[in-house]
Amino acid sequence: MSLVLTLVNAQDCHFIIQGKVIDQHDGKPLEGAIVAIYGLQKEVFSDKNGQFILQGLCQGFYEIEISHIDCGTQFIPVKLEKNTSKTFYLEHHVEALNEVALIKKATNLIVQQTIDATVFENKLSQNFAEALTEIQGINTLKTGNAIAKPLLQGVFGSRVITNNQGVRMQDMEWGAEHAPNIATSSVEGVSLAVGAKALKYGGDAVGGVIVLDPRKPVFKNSQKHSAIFTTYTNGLGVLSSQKFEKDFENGLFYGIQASYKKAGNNRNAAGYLQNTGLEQTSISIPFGWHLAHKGIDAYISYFKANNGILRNSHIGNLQDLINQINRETAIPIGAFTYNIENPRQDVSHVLAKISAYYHFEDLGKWTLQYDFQQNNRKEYDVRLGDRNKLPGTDLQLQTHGFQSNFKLDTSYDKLIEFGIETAYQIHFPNPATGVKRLIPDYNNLNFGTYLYGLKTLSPSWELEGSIRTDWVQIKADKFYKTSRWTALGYNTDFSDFIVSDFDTQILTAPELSFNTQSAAFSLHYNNLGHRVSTHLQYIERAPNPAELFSEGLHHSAARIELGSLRMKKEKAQKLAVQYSYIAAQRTFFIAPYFNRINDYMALIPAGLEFTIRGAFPVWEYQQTNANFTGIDFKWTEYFTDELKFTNGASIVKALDLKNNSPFPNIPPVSTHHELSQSFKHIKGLSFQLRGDYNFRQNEVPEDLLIFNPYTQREQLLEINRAPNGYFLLSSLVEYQFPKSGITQYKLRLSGENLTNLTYQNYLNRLRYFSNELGINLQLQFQINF
Amino acid sequence: MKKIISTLLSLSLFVTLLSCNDNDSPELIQEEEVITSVIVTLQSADNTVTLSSVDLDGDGPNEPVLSVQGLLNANATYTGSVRFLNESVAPLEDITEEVKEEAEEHQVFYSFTAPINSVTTSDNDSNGNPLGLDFTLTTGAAGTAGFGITLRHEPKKPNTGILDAGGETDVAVNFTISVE
Repeated sequence: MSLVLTLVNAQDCHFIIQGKVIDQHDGKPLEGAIVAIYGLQKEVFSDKNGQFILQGLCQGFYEIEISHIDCGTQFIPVKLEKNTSKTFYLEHHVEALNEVALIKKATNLIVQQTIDATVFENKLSQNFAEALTEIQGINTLKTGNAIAKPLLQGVFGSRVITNNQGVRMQDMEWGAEHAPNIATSSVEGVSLAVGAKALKYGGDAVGGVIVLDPRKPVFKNSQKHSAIFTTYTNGLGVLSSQKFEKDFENGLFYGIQASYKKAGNNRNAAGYLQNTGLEQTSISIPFGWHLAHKGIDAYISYFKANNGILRNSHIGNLQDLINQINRETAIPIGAFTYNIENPRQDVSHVLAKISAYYHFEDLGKWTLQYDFQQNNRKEYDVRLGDRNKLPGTDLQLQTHGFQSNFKLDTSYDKLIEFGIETAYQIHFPNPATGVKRLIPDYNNLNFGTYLYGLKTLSPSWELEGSIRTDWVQIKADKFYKTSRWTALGYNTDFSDFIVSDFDTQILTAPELSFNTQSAAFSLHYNNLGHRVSTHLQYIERAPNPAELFSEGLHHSAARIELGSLRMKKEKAQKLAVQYSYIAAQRTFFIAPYFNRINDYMALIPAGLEFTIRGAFPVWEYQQTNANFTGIDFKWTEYFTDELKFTNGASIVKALDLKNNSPFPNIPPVSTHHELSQSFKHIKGLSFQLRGDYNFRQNEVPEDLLIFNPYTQREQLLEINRAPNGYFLLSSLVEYQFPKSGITQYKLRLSGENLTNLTYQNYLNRLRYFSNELGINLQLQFQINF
Repeated sequence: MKKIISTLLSLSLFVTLLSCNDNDSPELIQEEEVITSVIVTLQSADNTVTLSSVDLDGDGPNEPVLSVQGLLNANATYTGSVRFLNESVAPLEDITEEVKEEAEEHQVFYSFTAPINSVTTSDNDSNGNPLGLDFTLTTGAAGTAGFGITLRHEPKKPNTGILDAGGETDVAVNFTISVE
């Protein structure tokens, strides 16, 4: 649901919106419905004929909020260019609306924390995590160009939950080089849930929850097609995305979306980057039938990606890495090809869900859901001979989820929600790889239960509170190298886990369980366009499989990574304040936060080990205490009707308190400026110019000084050295052709890194091996019919 | 509606029960392509010197065990060869054969300090580029020499030396040898 409010004009404010509110169920006028303009202090009631009138409005885009004591709340975007008359249909007890829109005002999301579908149209060729950076405070942690995962206010991985269509994504999010298995083109809209309302999505979202909106019915007979063709120069990429949506008056709806993307080797000023092509396919089918008191929803989607990984980033030992970091080894210049060779990642994800709800008269709504996910991840390394055709890592994660949620929503000024959520997971690493398993076989059982409450204290004040408890049990079957088992002291601490001894390897069956408790409160204040939300939360997170079980050599990082069976749960206390101000000509958003995480699980260098390939630093998952402090800021100003200016900035500081050191991979200070120009006399034409400045990250951990016994000298491994700051220029020209009937054409021409700058991105894990991409020009053609 | 709910419930229960049936022990993996041992034989008219580095636990915590059997004679010429073995499996696997089969994608590089005077590779791949499994080593006056062996997978070929070659290091071993 789009809650993004765009106000254009303050010059001519004599327009009116008048209309009628009708009960969709029986077609009769609804009296006493509240019709308000979101963000403005304009509110009227519909009379006994269902009619209302809102006066003194300016030209521009508005979000109209309609609610009735017996119904949900509906937000309807309206573009006001002349006096407008509209009929609104409200449904008794039909939850045709966004989950968050149901709760009257508290969930009017903070402006800068949602992205609507039209924004995604512009970002279709980017990967999902990059498209999310439109939300101030989200960065991406990248592995090359194709693989990116969201970094939310400095934290990532298992600390950031993605909820897709009401299903918690289980796509091995624990890996730094594992991107969310979501195609950008399948996304309708995104919002960021923090504070009390985040807990129902999971008790362990230390960072927050990225919520992907499910499709909702529109309750009228309609069908919509959308076809988007995109082509871009860097990598000679093509992307085709098709969407079909069908709706009926009776609440039945279905649709299909499919996309295909292919690109070859990327290039920068120096030349082509070897093996950086990619191929992605996605398909999703939503279905639902929402009647007055009951309904069902179903969704099935498939995502597949084959991502090439920069060839020279696959290295053999520490010396190779040092040579690359110091640029003593020339970066090989490839040629252009669409072929993807090893090393590469081949991942796929299936998500299927079915849910049903029933609304009990004068009580509330009960929803049941079953979901299934299967995530497959094959990683191909550069291997000898025929083994090159075999993946070095072949993991399969199946998840069955079941949830039940009850929402007591009969009272206008309060809402209570409670539910249970269970998940059962089976992880299977295929032994046919012939390579020791990175993550072992395990079964995971999770049982969670939560309670959420919202109370409207006064027209301006609202309070939300939520508590949740989870029980997690992991039963693994893992082979340890006998030498490793002994070196870690497990032979004395965990001898109970031993199943059998194979001399050089030991089969163990660790069984671990964790009980976590989380609580959150959010207090909101709303007045005349000002809105202040204060969130206070305590979150506990159980360790993930990587933190517990990792054991082995990580090629692109040239390091040995070790999990620990001794991990305890992580505990985070966060205070976040979000202030936003919306007026006719400006919006303003500032959000400071402080996140104190005790027993924070982090990979920390812990010595050096020697193998026949040479010396490797050992990185162990250890627990420390951490402070994450930051501010996100965004400001939009309408200088004239046609010219909009936006400025955004984010700062985050992260400190490892035990080692008194900054953490690696923390986003540097960044700021962007954007000018958007539209033209009164050329309707449909708009132009954007954007400049991004990323500062140098000055707060990095100390580099490792490594004694090399073979050369008998100490060497500095400058793994944390941050690259210099850089300025990137990008632009977009869009023309929306005049609509003919329901058919509309849109044409977009955009460019990134227009100056073809040579730079390195601190948040790219492959920055040692190549510079970032050069200029990219993109042409996009869209037909809606 | 009740029907839907009960169907849903029984479906999820069924699937959960099905998936619980997973108590088989996982298969033991004996990694075949690991190089655990590097063995260098240096042969002159007068004597034979054998160098070995053995690390049976691969990327485990145990360090490789280095051994040098014999002494190099001063001012002598040795014919050398290197072998790469996987001794963590039985019977042991000779990785040298795979390196030979993929000679175009491999190269062995040598580094040395005085009194080793020179190391010259004496075998080539099918493209006529050096492979380096066989070499000739000459010594100068008496002393203690450093001798290093690096096996690179997929280096740039031909190249002007190890730094130019790039690729991926599969083996990096250094020995200290006495020359008398």
